[in-house]
Amino acid sequence: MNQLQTSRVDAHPTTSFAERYERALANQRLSINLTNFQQAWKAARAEAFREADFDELRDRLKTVKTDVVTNLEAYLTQFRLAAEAAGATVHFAADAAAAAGVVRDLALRYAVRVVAKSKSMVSEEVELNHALAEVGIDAVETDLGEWIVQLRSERPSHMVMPAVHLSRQEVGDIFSTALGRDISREQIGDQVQAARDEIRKVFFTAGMGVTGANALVAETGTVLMVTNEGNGRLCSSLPPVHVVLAGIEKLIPTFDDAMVQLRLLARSGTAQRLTSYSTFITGPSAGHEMHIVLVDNGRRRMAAMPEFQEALHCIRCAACANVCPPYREVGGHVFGHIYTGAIGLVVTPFHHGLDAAAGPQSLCLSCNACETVCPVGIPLPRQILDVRALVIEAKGMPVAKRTMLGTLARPKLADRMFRLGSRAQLPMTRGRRFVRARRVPILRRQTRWRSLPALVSRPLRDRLHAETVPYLIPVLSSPAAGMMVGYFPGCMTDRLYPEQGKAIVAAFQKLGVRVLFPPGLNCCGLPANNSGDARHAKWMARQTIRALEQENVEVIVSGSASCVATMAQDYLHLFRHEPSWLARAERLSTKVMDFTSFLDRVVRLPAGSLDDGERETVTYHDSCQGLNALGLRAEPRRILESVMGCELRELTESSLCCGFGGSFSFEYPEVAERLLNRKLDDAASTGANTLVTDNQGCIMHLRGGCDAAGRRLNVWHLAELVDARLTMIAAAQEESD
Amino acid sequence: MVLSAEFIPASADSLLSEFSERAADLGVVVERVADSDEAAARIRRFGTELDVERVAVSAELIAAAPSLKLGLDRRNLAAEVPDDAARVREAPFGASLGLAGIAETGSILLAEASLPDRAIGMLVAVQVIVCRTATLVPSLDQAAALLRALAARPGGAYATLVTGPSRTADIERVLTVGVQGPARLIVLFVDELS
Repeated sequence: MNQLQTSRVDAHPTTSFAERYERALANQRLSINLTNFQQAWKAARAEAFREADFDELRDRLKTVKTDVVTNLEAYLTQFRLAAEAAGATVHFAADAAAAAGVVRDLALRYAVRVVAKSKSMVSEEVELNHALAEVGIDAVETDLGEWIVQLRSERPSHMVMPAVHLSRQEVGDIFSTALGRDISREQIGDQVQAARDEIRKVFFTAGMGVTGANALVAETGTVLMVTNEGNGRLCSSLPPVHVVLAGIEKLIPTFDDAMVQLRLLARSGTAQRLTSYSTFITGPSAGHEMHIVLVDNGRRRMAAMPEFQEALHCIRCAACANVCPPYREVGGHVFGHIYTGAIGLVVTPFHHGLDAAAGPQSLCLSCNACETVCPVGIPLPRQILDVRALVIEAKGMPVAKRTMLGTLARPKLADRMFRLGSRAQLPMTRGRRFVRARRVPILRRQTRWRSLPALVSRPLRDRLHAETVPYLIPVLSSPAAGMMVGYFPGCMTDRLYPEQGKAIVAAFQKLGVRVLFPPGLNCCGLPANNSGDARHAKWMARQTIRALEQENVEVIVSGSASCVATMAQDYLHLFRHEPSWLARAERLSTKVMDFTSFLDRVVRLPAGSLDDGERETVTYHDSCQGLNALGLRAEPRRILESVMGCELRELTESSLCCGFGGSFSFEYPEVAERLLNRKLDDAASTGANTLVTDNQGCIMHLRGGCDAAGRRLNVWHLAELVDARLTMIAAAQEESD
Repeated sequence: MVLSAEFIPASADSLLSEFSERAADLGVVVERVADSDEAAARIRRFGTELDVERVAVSAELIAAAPSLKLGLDRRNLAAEVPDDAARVREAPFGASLGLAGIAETGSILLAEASLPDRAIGMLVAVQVIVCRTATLVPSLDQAAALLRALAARPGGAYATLVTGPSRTADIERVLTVGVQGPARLIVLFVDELS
């Protein structure tokens, strides 16, 4: 026990974010461990939700938690009165110091020497172990994962699986050192047995047990706590004093609500039907004491901010970390502060200040995967951007980025700069479509692994204005024939890939769709919005809304899933405080549609209508905005397989981000490179020579990676394939005429 | 203590079969027996497999099923009621009384009032939970009503839904059972517990 008693966790290490990032990248095992974990979790979660309706359960719990946050004080009072009636003592703590102080004072009052701790994120939040150590009290973690990281003087890197970043060899090493005897580096069973034997001593010597709470049932003053190991029950039963540390947001009104939470929590956290032990504690055991410390520490401030209220719905399942691509590469000691994963980026400013959140929040690449698995429907991606805006407001933005966004917001200036750039790049492109600047020192970090696309000298806007878009007799009949649609190309199509825009326009012509290209279109504002620059984002949003309002069309189509998500979804949040612009944004959001959806829902081409009989082998990459923001999954597959007759070979992880993330890939090229190579390796293993997707950012990133590595993979926008098939049909019809 | 289950199922067989299927996923052995004597015979057999001479039995179980104790005595398996949690610290085998079975999840509701009783399910290596067949309920929704009734008792309650053995996947996500609690769980549904 001596070794254990000296292993105290210090206050959160002050290592800078940049150092932690570098260290995580240098750790070869880390992303291997986390990749195995994420892949296994995704499969297990999918299986666990096969027999439960995720959407229905999520909506039910979200309704419950919304009610709790709205009526927080009333539920707190109800809980306190009921808990006190059952014999517990309830304490309120305004901040971290107060919370740790309550527990420390209780420990001193009862002359406690050893505290047995069950897993509690709030105890991490308030630095409890540190506060106890200062007065000579040993707090020993009894959850296996927590104990492992405590022995390493680390913080949990994951809210549910604290030691997920470690391999069995590393666990064997630390156990051998801590226990002073040789513990297997390979046999996990032996390691668990060794831990059990050591930790069991703690339960019988501890004068106090500290646990967290998964929920506080208001109707009876009951504390709900779930553990798989059973350590929570021991911590709350054997020591004579039981202290519960819980955030005030953990309230739920009734046991019926608790059952909904349990069903979601077990499946989302560990892919179980139910956690091994779901314990409901109402009042102390006979002859024991029970104290419940309810912690605010920034929670009421969150409840008062409409942008952040929903973060208080969190049930700490950590599903958001389990699908997060940057988390996979760098782990929770970088992607988060004390709370890790997407929710960690959101709550950190409120619990630990903006400085603690500044670095980690910049690692979010806005792929939106977290929101799709959140069991309480927290709009995590949007909230992270709101945190980013707070960080930018307080700390400013790097000059180069600020200048770039400022330029993009001024259409004429941006146009001049793009045209100038298309000439200035010539020494590096020599007329090719790529900038291969591996020998240019300032570009090396960006282009060593990914060639950048060359700016075209003649953007799409010149071509569409110069060549009026004539109406043609459709080569295939469809409900879309005769429709008038507005076309929004997006900057990347306009300046980098005009041929994709041409393909969309040409496809529309062949389908008998009349296309309008509204003048005055500029960037939709996505880069500014994703950078936390709300001022420029709104500026560009207003420009876009004005330009698109000029044309009286029912539908506005874009070949960029990202631009569509920005216009249809992000504008509504940007203008939440400006009713007149909000109304205009709402009107626009009902009209904007991505190319894939338009083909699938409006054109509705019959099966086989674009089949060339060749059964071309392709693979499909789900762009993050297409899949996670717009919900497209079956649609592109229907077009490729059923309408075009392609053989679709699925990527193992088609929903995993390719690593572009806009400015992310320039700020964190190391992570972007790893994600890119995962995607390209995955594509190569399908055996398909063609990868299809619906977003220019992915296309730029994937093509750039192929060019830099000499990989043979054709990356196409779906529209290019569709137009090619329509062109063949048109040619065949002309021939037969 | 006997809880009046509001939802005595029309078909105990179908609930039992769902329970068994869900519990089997977790490696739990589920058996149904007619009465306490048959239950004692089963517990004796498990004891023989474990090569133990004694079993720690909760006072609640003895109170609810005196004839179970007689059956164990007759079969030379010493049923010991712990008076302190430390008595079962390294006990290999224990038996507890389940208040209800939940078919949806293969869970058993435990709510022992005394700490030594509760300690059995927290510390022994192999735990048998004896439960009346009639207490089987379809889902967690009915469990909520039972939990509410327990919590509303004067002085509160300490209730747990036990769903499988103690387990961890904290190291490389490899499932390992028997971390702090029982490594093996056996559920005996008894039609007539006396």
